[in-house]
Amino acid sequence: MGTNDPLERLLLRLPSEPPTDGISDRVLQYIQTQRRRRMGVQLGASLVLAAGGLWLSSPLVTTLAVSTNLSGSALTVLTEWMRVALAGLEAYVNYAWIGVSGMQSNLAAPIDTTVGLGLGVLAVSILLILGQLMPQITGSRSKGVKV
Amino acid sequence: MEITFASEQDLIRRARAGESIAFEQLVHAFTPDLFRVVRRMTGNTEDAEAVLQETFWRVWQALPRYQEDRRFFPYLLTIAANLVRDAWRKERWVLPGELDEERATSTGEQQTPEMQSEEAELLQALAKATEELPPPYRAVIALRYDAGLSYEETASTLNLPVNTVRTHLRRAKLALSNKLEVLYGNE
Repeated sequence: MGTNDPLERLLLRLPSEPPTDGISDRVLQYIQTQRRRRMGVQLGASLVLAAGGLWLSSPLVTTLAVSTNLSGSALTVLTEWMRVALAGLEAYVNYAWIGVSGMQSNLAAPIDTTVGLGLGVLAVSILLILGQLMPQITGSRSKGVKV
Repeated sequence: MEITFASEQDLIRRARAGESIAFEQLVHAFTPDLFRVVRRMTGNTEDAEAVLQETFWRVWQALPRYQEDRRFFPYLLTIAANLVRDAWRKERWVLPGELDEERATSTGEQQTPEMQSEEAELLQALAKATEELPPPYRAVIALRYDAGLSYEETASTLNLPVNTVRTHLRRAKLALSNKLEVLYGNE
């Protein structure tokens, strides 16, 4: 940057403070901490949803198994259903997480533990509401079923 | 810059493929230059380090979406500059009123420093005076003189019109001239 302005010439040679010792290592340490925090939030959300999914699906599947006269293999059906439900939930959580992460532009605030906890509480609330409705749904469907 | 464009792109590709060593190399390679510019922008070491950490964390998160063939340092500068600007907003910093440019221009012309005899002292005084400038002026100075960006690049990094950058820079230099006048007028 060539210039005839004396002030500009000085500005081009302004002394600057050298980086503090170990600054790169502290940057990397910060990134590690943030990664662990994000993974923790992801894991927490997955567990909440998976547990909720199991809790929701078990009475429904039991009722279905009984109503379709699969009493002998009800446990097997239930176990298989849970396995599929868990896999589906896990896939959903991963998809949702990618979606949320994708919304994070370089300038947006990072998702932190507070937001993660908020999402977890929201998910539990939805599950609890659905749980209130579930006996009515399963009850109405199991009417007339002979065990 | 100690790293060539080709090797920088190679490191980014490897980092995107999940090679954490490559990302660490990028951090080590770009931290000194980025620190110099951000330190000038923020005016203190602690804030500069915090901005650096957050900048690299955001870069790490955005790696899958990183546009290949884009220069890495200007990309870092853009993120860092936005973080610094966010901090200003939180502090509710507002631009000062218009300077009396006519007066400032005339005093600036009178105060051309004698560089041969007092250069080191003058540079220190100028660095200190720069730290006392309003944040947007410091940012323009840092990007223009520490990072060596053009007016257009500076404008793009700060997301400002080029004319605004020119105005900020002109006012910053006038303010610095005035500060130097005060300093050297007392001796």
